[in-house]
Amino acid sequence: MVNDTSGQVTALAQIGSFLLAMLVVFIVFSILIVISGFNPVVVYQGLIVGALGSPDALGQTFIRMGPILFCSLGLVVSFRCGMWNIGSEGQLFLGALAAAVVAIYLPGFPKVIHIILAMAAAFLVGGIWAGLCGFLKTRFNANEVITTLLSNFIAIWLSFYFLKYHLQPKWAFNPSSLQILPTARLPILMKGTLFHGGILIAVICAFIVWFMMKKTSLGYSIDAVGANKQAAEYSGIRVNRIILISMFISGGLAGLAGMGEVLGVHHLLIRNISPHYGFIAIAAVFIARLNPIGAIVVSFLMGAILNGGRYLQIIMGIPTHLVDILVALFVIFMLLQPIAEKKIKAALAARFQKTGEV
Amino acid sequence: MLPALQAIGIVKTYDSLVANDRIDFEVRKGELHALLGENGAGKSTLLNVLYGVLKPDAGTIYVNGKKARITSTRDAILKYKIGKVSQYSDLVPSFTVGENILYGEIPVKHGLFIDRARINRTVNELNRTTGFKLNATAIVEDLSVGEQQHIELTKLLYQDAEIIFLDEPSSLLAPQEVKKLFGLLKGLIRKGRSIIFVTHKLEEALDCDRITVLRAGRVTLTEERKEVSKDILLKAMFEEKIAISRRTARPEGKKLDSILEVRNLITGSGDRRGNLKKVSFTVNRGEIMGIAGIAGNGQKDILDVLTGFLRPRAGKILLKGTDITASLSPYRLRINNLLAYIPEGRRTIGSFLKLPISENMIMGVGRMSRFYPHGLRDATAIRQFSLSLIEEYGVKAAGPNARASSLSGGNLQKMIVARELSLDTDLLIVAQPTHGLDFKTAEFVHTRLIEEAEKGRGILLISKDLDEVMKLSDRIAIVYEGELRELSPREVNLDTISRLMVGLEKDD
Amino acid sequence: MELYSALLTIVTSTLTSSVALLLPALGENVSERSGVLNIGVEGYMIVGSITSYLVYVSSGNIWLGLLMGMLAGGLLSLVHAVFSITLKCNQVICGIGIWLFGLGISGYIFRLLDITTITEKFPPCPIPLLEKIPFLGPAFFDQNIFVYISLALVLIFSVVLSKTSWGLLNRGAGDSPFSTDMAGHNVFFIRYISTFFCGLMSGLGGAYLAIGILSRFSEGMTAGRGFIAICIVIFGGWNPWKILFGALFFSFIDSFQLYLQVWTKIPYPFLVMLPYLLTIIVVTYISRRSKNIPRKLAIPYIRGGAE
Repeated sequence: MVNDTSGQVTALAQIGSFLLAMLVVFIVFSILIVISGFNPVVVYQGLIVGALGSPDALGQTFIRMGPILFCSLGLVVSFRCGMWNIGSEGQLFLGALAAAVVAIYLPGFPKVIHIILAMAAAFLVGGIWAGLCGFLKTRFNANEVITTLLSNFIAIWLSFYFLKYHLQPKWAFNPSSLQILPTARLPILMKGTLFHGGILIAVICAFIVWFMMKKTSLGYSIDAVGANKQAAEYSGIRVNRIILISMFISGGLAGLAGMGEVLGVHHLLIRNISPHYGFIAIAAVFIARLNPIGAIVVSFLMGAILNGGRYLQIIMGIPTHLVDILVALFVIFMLLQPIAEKKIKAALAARFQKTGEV
Repeated sequence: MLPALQAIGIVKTYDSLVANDRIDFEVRKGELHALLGENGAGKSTLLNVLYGVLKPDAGTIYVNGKKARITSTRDAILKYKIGKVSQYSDLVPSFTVGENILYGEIPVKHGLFIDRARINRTVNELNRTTGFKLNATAIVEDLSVGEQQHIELTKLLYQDAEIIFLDEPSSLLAPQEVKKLFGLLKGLIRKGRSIIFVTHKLEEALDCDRITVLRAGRVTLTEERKEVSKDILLKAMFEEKIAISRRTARPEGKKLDSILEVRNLITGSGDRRGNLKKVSFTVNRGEIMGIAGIAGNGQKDILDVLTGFLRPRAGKILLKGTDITASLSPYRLRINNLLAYIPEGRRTIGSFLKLPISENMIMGVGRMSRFYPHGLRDATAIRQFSLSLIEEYGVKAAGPNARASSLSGGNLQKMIVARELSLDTDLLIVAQPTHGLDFKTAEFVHTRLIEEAEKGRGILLISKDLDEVMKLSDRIAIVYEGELRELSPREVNLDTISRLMVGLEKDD
Repeated sequence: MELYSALLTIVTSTLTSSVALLLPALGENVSERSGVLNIGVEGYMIVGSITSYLVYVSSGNIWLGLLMGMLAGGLLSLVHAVFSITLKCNQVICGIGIWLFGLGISGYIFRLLDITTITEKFPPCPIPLLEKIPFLGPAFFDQNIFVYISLALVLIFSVVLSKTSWGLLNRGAGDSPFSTDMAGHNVFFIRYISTFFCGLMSGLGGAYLAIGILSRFSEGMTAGRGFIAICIVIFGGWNPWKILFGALFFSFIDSFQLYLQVWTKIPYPFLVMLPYLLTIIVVTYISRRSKNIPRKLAIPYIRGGAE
């Protein structure tokens, strides 16, 4: 066991292993680009321009960042509690549904109130959905990986059911609902772009989650349960309660992601409300090392990548799937980071010990 | 004649605890050799070194006179033909008996299909040798632990293991089965196998050809059976290495407040050795009540009930006179500040290795409101508290923000002790507080515990370390096979205690 | 007559489309029994689909297409194997990444090459004489050859897994890798082969879907079948015959859903949800009686050397 009392070795190992993993991702990605017959430099340039090159582009990046950030924050809470919630996508869908219902069918509210009501509905529904899986775990010890994974598909079809059979007006072609009421629309924050208030709410939530985890007794208990469930129980923490609460919050935040899409981007409910944002968030949250503030940065990065892909398609004719592949590469190769960290740490410690420092 | 297995100068250290201190040990061909000693004497460590599970810091191993490099268990099994039967089954639970025994070389017909007939035949043949009545087609997970042990022994036989380790095999067997086991073992050594029989029971050791006694990591005795007696063995196992400094004797007749009273506690079901069969004892204010005994005789159940993790089948628990049997839960015990607990297993259940030291220090739902007033973190209070405890207890750490995983074993234990002792409770339960600690840290812990008792707390000490129990306790009780017996002052001597711990009567 | 022809269509299409569920489920069964969980089966399938489609279109040889589709799935599964077995990473996250990768790369290639050829379906392969039996004949004995192959595979799997030494090793690696290692077998090799096999079967299933019955590739055409296959494995208790039943059952619901909607008024989405819902129920109760679950599923085997 490495005795690292100064923390320097750990920090170096962390940074080094991250860079290493990212390097591998970019190497593999570049090889793929070359094989497809494109120029990697041009592609990377295109990605950057497409993501950040103009106010409109930035706006598009931000609107993708929003839902990824919401879902990531949810995962921060549940993963730190030791609960592997991979059902964010489904929780997002149900949150979108709930928000749409409130946004379409509850007239007569002033703007701020209406949005808040829609948010509450989305949070509640997403939270309960995740909480159900949490309940199955605490009561029956049902493995939450499988239950949350499958709950995605159930939620997606459930939301489709409500959309098609209850919300879709007779004259609509594709499955979609009525437009949401103007009082429920999230305001645009950057004129001329699509950057809507939902993203700001997401960033605020990041700080709320940070505050909760770092400064409240609830956050303390969540971290304790995640660090050592049994020891937490011995210290008197009511572990089942904490698990249920963390799952609820986790699903609620993912539900808010759905709310953002309905109230800020599409202004109605459609079938494919999310291009796997919930799954992308899993990668994002690992890269951000379960840190809510780090999640802001990583979500922006992911949003930039996804948006850049659009530009590549329009200008260069490269299918947007290329960036989906890049995201997938991140998911896979980031798994190497903890391994690399251990190896670097051991190697560094050996060298330091030889020279007498630590 | 060269010994079958010989270990010279084996040293194995954990942090600053020397588990094996230059051990010389050997077993001859065709010999049944007992390895005798208390818990923590170093028997399991030695066995693990010989079996390739642990790498020794120093020492050499010879098999049949040739130097052996045992770098993994696979090496031990396949290269050196060593076999081990431990308390934990190594079998595949969903396989049949036959499949498990012949797993190394599954007989096939037509190159593909499992030849069940041959498996059955082989098992029956083996049954004739061993005297067991194994059913080749029974599924292992349906069988009892004793039967599983039979399977493991049969498997060793089939694999032609030359050197066999048995790690406390009788701990899970009924007396008749133990007799049968010995019959089998004697038969095996007649055929030239060498067997190391690890035990803490005197009668079993005396049934073997030669006996080696380990105490505190050292070999204290290696003799032929005929050269020893029970007394000699007991002395070798338990001889005091330090003068036992008893606590100042309490004036007789002084009435004390009882803090904890356990009445007629019964736990569990079936014949498990650790189930409690009507256990009663008290812990008084200002006293250390020590419960000694070899692991697995009921200590776990006592601890589980008192910490709220096990519901007793019968009995009452009274805390300061109030019956709390019905409301024993970890949450209630902590929120009402009824209990402080230093558990065994500082890494597994005693601490949060991934969290910083400060977060560990303040753990305990009962004092949440002090460090999180109105649910919000008071960072200054937490930092001050942690720093003061780190200093007071001499925890060697980089700082309160360092992860608990960076602490050495001794310092981790100090942190846990600090955390629990700083809770202002009347009752303190302590399990194996100095297990695996170096002498200085152990002394420190002992001093603190005595101080707490002097301050008026009631302490329940449960420990396998007899020296510790005798040094700290005002009153001593022994658990053996689920029964607890408190000793009168006359009975408190090494001789009596050690006999009771191994199940002998006083005058055996 | 209406009813008859309706029933006939349902039964026939159930059998025909069940292959696309059965093959990946059988493959995942083998892999899970050895201890490796492949959340990315959907990915294996869809790369099988695109590869087989492209090869068939360019070569005109349907068997070559199927073969290449199979190998594509196998190749992707090897990536998962390296990360899960050798590098001992989290198999769930890896599986999700593999799925997203498969989805991405198949869509990417499809869009890049922009091929829209409709291919010839797999011809029916009627069994002489038997196909003349009323109802049963056309339904069961006038299927394409893969249906027969798949049913035969169920039998073969059942025999191999329960009666051969390979089957024993496969189960041992997932139940008790330590005992298997100590018995002198190579746990890692067993797991690699089992995972690769899952990739092959799933790739074949995807290929069958694309060029065998649906005649073209379209994005997302596997439609969650990979995940349903995982469900079927759990639902079927890691037993090939129960898996066959599961595949038929869920395939039936899919074929039958139009009629079910008319007759029972249960909307289509609820029928699609059914496999997932049933699996959650099974999983919830499985922790009580975990007789069949491979004990060390998704737990990497770390060979404890002397430390």
